Amino acid sequence: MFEGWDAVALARAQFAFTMSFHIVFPAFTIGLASYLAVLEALWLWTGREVFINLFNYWLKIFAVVFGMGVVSGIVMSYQFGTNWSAFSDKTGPVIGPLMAYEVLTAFFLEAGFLGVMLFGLERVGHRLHFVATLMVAIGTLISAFWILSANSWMQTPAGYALNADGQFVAADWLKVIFNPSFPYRLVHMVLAAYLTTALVVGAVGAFHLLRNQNLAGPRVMFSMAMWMATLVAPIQIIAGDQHGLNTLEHQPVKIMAMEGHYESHSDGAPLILFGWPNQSAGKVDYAVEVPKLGSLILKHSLDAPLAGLDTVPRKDWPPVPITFWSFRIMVGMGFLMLGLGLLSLLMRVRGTLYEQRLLHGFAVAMGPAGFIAVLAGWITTETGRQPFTVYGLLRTAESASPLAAPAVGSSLVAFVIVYFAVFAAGIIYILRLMAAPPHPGEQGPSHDVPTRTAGITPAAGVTSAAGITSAAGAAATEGAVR
Amino acid sequence: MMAVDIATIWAFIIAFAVFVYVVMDGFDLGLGILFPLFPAKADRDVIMNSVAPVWDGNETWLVLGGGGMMAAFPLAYAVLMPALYTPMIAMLIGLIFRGVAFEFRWRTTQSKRNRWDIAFAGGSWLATLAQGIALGAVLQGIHVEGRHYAGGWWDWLTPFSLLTGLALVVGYALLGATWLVLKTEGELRDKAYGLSWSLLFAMLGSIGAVSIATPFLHIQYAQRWFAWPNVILTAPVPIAVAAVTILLLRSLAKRRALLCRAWDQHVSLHRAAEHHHLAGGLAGEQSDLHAVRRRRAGAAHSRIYGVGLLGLPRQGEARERISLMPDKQNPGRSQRPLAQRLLWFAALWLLGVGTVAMLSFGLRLWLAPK
Repeated sequence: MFEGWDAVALARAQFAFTMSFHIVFPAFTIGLASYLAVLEALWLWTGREVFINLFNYWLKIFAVVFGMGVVSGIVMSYQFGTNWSAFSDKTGPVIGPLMAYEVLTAFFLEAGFLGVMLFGLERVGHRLHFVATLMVAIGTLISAFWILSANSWMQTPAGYALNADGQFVAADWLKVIFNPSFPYRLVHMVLAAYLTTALVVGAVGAFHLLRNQNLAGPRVMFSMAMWMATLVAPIQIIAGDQHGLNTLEHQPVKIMAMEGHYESHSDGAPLILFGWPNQSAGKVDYAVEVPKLGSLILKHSLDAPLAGLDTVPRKDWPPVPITFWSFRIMVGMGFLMLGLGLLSLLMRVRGTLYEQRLLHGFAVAMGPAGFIAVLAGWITTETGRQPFTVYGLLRTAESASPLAAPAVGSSLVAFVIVYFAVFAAGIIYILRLMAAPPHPGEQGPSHDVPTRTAGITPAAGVTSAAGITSAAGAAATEGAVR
Repeated sequence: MMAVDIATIWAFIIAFAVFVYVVMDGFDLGLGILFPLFPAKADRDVIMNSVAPVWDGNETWLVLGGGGMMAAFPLAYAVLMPALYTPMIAMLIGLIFRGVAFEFRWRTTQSKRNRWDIAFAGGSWLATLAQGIALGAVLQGIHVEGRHYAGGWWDWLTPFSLLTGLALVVGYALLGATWLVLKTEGELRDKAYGLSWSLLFAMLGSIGAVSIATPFLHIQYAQRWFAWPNVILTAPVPIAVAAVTILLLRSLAKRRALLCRAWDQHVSLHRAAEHHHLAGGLAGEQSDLHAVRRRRAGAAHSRIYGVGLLGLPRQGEARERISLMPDKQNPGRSQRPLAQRLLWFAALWLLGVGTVAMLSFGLRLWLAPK
């Protein structure tokens, strides 16, 4: 099997597959961790029971999602070496430290406080537990910071030098970390994570409102989620536009692929709304376009000239059809989110936020929209960087491990089978948790199984093992004892 | 003296990460390995819960090892990972199955729970075997040309790597068994004691087999191990193994693992604190009630006393009171302080190093006098 296949293509398929599965979980946990921190803060502040019920309700879902994020993340961190060893060799001195910092600053923080967050509400006192929740939320954000810095460096490399072995080495760490596209990407991704979470929370709230409009929990979470959509969706569109302008400056070829601009336009490029990019012919078939609008959006001038892919050697072309369409899917989702936010605002002003069944149905349908947008966005930016892993400097074909196609093919098949089996089960469990509405006296993960109610070993594990293991855990325990 | 440069520091950091990973995740992988031997659902719940809050922290060390290696030794990382492709992928898949089982087994309906128990046990076996095989594959050497791995994708599979794989399974299983001794009580703990005995001897056998096989892999190993002055560094290892084995045998014979003393204290402390709480702060005078409780704890429900409290408010006070209380079940038990035990251990180690150094030095003078 796989004898005649291209090992690099298989390795790319494997990375794309495992990465796509992985990104879904962090996108959700980044948003959910912050949402949980907000819920707990509101509970501590107002003392309203509905907030702690919602907190415990979403904490159970968080536990499942976080576990899946951890295990799919370990795969990512080792795949750089197993499948992209030439890339690891060349960029390790730059990318490696960024990932090591992620582990040291973010993962240990999360891991140290996660046990307290999941199992400790009744044991460590409410304020300390809130600190733990806050630490986990901050940990997820720090993690996003480092990993997006590493990715952005691959998109817009800066602050590096080449050594005698052909390796990239850091000449200026500040320039490496804060490379040109990093601030835009970080804002865009964190907002995307928040929006994704808001849409899921809103969909769950709307789902239960469709059944019963008088439940306190669904009303509160639906209202909170719709505020988030109303406020963040427009900001996200602006952030995305700014990110696009930044990309035009540093990765113009990616913009050409996103816009389907095979040809150069000397006086005002059109905005191609839809069409089918024909890579071999070098033009967009069946194009529906608005004249001059492309230049207006990208250059803020109707007649500004825009270069096309015809100015770029063919061997440096990204796979335009994928980039083109994934970009449109992302943008489409973004405008649907904006629509949901505005519609909910209208209903809120009219005072029918909790009664309008059509709005609730729309919100339920939009539940997975955030994930679709996140995936489409990442596909846009990652395929738009092709055929390079480090933009303009290191080709994808030169990055791969010297592996035989059957080896990569078998691992790809194994990952596909395992991921669909395992993560499908996880998603079913999450949906099952979501299908029941939050009820008064909702219990967290430590209480929904009888053995844990007895206060068994989870706490013991944290107390004694954390003392041995990590400083973060030890600090948590120490704080816990006081 | 060896120059201390950034590479050396990183080598120590990574060695430390791997060491901590093996010890910490070894416990919970070992539990997965032992899982088939504990068919009762109640036992399995206790076993899983004993590591549920810490397993992801333990695996973070694995990510640090990988990330640190990519950062500090990208060439080694780039050569090793493709060479270990199949074991690495197997390890990752094993870790997925066992990692998700921690949450999933609580989310499924009762009748189907066994499915994730199988995933937990099977994933732990697979990941451990793969780690051991990877270690063996590195020890036996890999084919490198230029800056790339140049071997095939089945090069790692040899009798030696399979031996190291099985040896690691035994080692982790022993860690898991002693963890259960540490963390549980009652019948579960009795069973863990029994397992620790047989696993200890199995591990000694594995250590012996791997130690005998290694010098025959490459002549360099034998040269490095037995040449002066390296022997100063290698000789204490078997002596330390012997010392730790004796300690463990002693503790097992007294039905008390080395660390377990501290744990006993901890458990009784928790009980006392509970009484302290219930009885309005009169824990010190409630020893009869305590004894009743303990006797009852010996029965079926005892295992739920595998408890430590995350936020025990009066731990400091309780500790003082408790340490003064006579232990009624084991009157002869001594409570040596931790520092004393550590000192003893350090002394033993130094003695071992000193003895071997002198012996080798004498041997050298006798063989090649100058």
